[in-house]
Amino acid sequence: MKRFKLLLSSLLLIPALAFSHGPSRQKVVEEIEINAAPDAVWNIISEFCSIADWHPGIKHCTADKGSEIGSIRTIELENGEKIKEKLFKLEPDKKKMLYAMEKLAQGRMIAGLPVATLSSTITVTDNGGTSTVQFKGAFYRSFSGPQPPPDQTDAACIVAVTKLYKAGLENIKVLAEAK
Amino acid sequence: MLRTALLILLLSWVCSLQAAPYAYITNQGSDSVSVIDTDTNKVVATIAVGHRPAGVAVSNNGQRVYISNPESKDVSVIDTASLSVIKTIKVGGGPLAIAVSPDDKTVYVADWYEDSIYIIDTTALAVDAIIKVGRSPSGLVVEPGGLFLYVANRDEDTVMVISLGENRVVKTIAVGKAPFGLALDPIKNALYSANVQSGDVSIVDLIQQKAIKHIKVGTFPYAIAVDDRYNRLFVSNQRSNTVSVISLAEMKTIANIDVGGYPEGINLHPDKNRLYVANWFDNRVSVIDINTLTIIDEIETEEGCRAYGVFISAQ
Repeated sequence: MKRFKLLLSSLLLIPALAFSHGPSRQKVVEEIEINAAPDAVWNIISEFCSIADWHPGIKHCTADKGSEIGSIRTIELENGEKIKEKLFKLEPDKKKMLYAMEKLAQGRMIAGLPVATLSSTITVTDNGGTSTVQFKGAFYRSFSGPQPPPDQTDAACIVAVTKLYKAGLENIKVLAEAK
Repeated sequence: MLRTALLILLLSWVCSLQAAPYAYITNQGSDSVSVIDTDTNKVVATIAVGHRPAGVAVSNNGQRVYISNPESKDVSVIDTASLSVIKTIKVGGGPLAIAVSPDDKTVYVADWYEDSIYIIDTTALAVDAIIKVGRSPSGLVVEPGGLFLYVANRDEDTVMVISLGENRVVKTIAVGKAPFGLALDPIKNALYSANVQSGDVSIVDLIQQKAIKHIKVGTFPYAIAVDDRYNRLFVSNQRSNTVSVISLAEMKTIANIDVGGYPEGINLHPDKNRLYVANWFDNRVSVIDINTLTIIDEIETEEGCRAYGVFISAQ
């Protein structure tokens, strides 16, 4: 209890940090080859909220304006964490979608995904009949101080985003190749 | 005929004496600066600097380059003759934006953790003074007379005017949401801010000392280059992967040029024909012909190029 009080009082002494995330933006690129036509692959992912159907780590999704640009979806992870993401680009001719996490409340840390401002681009390209699906992500770690706990470092964030993308890509492959 | 030939010979000899300007590109992921010869658009050197370098400021005489390193919390000073770091200066908690005074005697560094500007004396290469500003200072520009410094306060939606004679804030001007990069247009007495959250550029009239117009650009605009020849602005949009072209005569965006992923630092070449843009996600710099608005070259850098600030030497 005493230790807790000490911790609490020392926390109060820390001035509010200006930026609500880490100092340097990080990136992740993940790709998968799929033995299916690009159109078929794109059909699986082209709706903004279809992520709940093709991503095994996402239980639920609702979007306020469907797949319109500017639509905000709320996704729920397996652990119950809810994340809001906004659709910035949807280009069916290029089979490309870009969305980004809405600004997190000050100090919020998403369990299992300790990032802030994650923006994701998913693209399907044609390999002469088969497809490559690529996820590109840019993000900061959520922890804003200089000494993040081991599970909230830039490296930990890269692992978490890589895992998120990989799980999605692997299931798109399963779904597309089963058809 | 002979005279003309001699003149051409003489001119080409004079030109060859003048080295082509170099572009100094900070690579945040590999703790280095790529030096590009803008004559050939090839990387001619790579210089190791501090941790996660982001900001850059080339001195007006072209002899030095100052690099801000947010994660090692210091400034690397590069001598351009030897292309090596001659000094590392400790500053604050998170140095990012960096600018040099017109007489090259002073360097200003915005610290976005400490909400202050560090003032470095370039003769002593040491911190001389610190000025408190608004929350998360992110953009810096000094007016050519050296009397005023303009600071964008990202988390306060303002630009501050600092009197450099007194080292104090003399005016605070409201702009769009989350202003980041600044650019100055001394002929028009105008200041421009790229506002990340509102996705626009504020035009501040420096005589009235207020924002007179907000012009929509792409998503997450980051930095601005002024093209006084054609009366335009070029704005890098991080999340649109584009450069917006603003006509200042029409006061609107007239074109968008597709570049690489997460375009950040943007500078007009001194020849006023070419624009250089660092694409952070793709580790390459795009070169745009500003007459045709097309990409004419692409240069590979190291990991995570940013080049935030003045990165091309004027000479």
